[in-house]
Amino acid sequence: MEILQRNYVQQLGNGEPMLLAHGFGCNQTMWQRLTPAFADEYRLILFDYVGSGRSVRAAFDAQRYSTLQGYVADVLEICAALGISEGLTFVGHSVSASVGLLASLAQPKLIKRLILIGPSPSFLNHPPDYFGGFEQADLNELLNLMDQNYIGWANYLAPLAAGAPDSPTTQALNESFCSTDPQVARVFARTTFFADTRAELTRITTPALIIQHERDALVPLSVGEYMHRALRHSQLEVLDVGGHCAHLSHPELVIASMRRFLQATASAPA
Amino acid sequence: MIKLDQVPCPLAQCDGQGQLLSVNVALCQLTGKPAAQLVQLRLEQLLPPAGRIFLHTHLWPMLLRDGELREIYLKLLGPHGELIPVLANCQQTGSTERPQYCWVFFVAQERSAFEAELLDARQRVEAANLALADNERFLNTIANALPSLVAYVDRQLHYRFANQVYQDWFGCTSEAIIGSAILASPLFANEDAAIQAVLTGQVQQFERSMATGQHTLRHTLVNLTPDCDLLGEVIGFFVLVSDVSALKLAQADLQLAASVYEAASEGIVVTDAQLQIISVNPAFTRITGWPAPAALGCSMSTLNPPEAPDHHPALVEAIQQHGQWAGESWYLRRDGRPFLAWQTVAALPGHESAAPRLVWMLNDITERWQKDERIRHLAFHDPLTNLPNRALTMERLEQLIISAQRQPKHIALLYLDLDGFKQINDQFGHDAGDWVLQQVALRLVAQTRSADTVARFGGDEFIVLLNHPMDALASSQIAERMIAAVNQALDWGGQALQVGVSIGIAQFPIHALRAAELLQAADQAMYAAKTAGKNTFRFARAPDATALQA
Repeated sequence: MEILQRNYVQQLGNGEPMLLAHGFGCNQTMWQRLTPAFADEYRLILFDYVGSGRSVRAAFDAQRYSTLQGYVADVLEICAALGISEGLTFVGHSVSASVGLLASLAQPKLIKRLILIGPSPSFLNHPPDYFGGFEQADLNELLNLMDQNYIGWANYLAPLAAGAPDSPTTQALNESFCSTDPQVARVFARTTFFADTRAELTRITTPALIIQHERDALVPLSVGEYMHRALRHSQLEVLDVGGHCAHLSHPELVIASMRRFLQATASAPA
Repeated sequence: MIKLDQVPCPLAQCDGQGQLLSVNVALCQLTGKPAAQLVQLRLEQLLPPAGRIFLHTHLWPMLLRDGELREIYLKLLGPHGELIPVLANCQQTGSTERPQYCWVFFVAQERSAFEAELLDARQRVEAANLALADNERFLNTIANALPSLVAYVDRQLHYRFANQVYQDWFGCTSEAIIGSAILASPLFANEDAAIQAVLTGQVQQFERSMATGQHTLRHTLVNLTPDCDLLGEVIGFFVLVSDVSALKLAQADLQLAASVYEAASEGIVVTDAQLQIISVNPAFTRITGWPAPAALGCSMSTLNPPEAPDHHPALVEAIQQHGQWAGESWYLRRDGRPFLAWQTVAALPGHESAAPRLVWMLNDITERWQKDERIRHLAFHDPLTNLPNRALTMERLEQLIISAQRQPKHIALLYLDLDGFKQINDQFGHDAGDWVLQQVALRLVAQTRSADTVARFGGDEFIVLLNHPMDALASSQIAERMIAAVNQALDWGGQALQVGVSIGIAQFPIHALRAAELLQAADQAMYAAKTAGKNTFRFARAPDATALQA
């Protein structure tokens, strides 16, 4: 399997490599408001995790993607396929922040710096020290909602109504959601919500920018502060934003924040 | 213009961060909150935790990207925390810089219940399919993990299933086997009767040897088990073929070992560590006279002669140290006759399923020992009279001298030479001469004690060693009795034969201190007796003091 085809890898612009990794529930189209700002100076690499967006569904392996390491492997394999072995700026949204952190541990030379948008080492609560925001029971309800929305309609009822699974209607419905396959989405959801990278944080020395949303229903402020304390070379920027997708809702704030960090770390040794 | 409050479904307007800007009455009723409170909230606060995750991971990204959402299934929190299923639509309005989002919610209790049922049905079908697939995979895994050949044959005698081992064995794929007729398989050649029988519901078993794909001959045990439907009709049968080649070989090995055990000429005994007999072979019975039933449970020590010290404790200790022991032991046969056994005893160390054992190999060497004894006897005895010969006599004399040096005592050596023997030989032949010598030997022995020795040195010369005679007188009395005994006439076929005897006596330590000198002194004394007229005795002359001291 050609890696670049497998992960539907798209490249824009020239310069230092910058890889943008989407979060759970999304795909690479979510970066469309950031890419114009950086395509002039950077070689932007966009991709979909296997099972998301336009990736090759057949390459999905529930075993591999049941831990974050499977997603880390996607990232490392893409870089290898592109011949990138150092100097990479990794931009990760939500769970992909954790993917980037683990990738930097796996190949410290590869990743020069990390830009983490709405990161959380664990979405689940681990009382008494850590408050991720959610309980395991919430995950089951989430899986139900996912089923009802894109199993119920897009994959089950819609094909019946439209007469054929490959009809344009079905395709369109599937396209609107980023994970098109319910099995994949379930696996990704579990992996995302059961991931816990708190133990790894303190081992990471790669310079990192933490972009924290001030009012984020998924990632409380305290989580951003927790990460900032744990990551040795990190900066924390709290954006005056509600929600979890500042790169879509307030791209100009994210771009400005990223530029400051990129300039500050430009002269830092790779 | 329609007023929002007149619209019968809940409406809301929020900014790009979800902050509610305006709501209608229907939403207030649905959520149980007044409008003034609702506009203080963000949209996600109307949702349960899972809904918030879905909103932020799926809906906002789509909405921010596409500017609209259509027919999204959500649950809103009701006045008392209950979940109200709604279908949500949303449209972005306003300027690009300050976008606003208009939400329309359709309460979808019924529809949602219907969908939930559909979904539930679908989930159950999926779960059932998964369970079925799991089950099938599980059964396949089991069937393929079995080291035996497993197959299923339908009533029309076509294969319906064959496990991996079955495929490997016959070198074909599952596709090639499934559907093919079993009669083509060497497994069932000439087994029509068994096939007919299993189709009538009877379990069948037969052995089959056949060459596999690699052309090695394998021995198998074939089991056919009928498969019946609910009405009891046989609809097919299971085939289980076990490769018993290894067992066959092992069985052959066991048979060989057993026949060696049975046929061995050595007596073989297996005992436990306490020497209790557990097993004996026929040779043991042949040697000892103990049949197996009588021997089992007895101790090996029962074979020991009662008066002999038990050598078994020392034997056990040696085995503990060296793992084996070999040596000769005298044992008793069942009839009480002793036999000499050459024994090798080896320890079989125990393990978790077997206690330690001792294996005894007994060779009956009594006959060989007797033959050896006979040879030894011949080497030291005169074959004619069975009396000790010169070699043995001199050895005994040396030993007597050694013991006499330790514990002072007298030894007398009598040198006897028959008188008139040559005439008998010449007149009556050698047979008569030999017979006379034998009779003389008996008579001489009759005059001595068991501690004394009567020997023949060849020809008509005899030697008598008297162990510790009281004094010279005792020796002379014995000499006189011997002369008288020899003088008694012998009846050779009605012919009276008579011989005399001349005797020379030398005494230790009076006449000599060394065996050869003592013999020489007695010889000279015997000649003195001959010179003195025969058929009498003479003592050796005492040597001069200087000769004795040397």
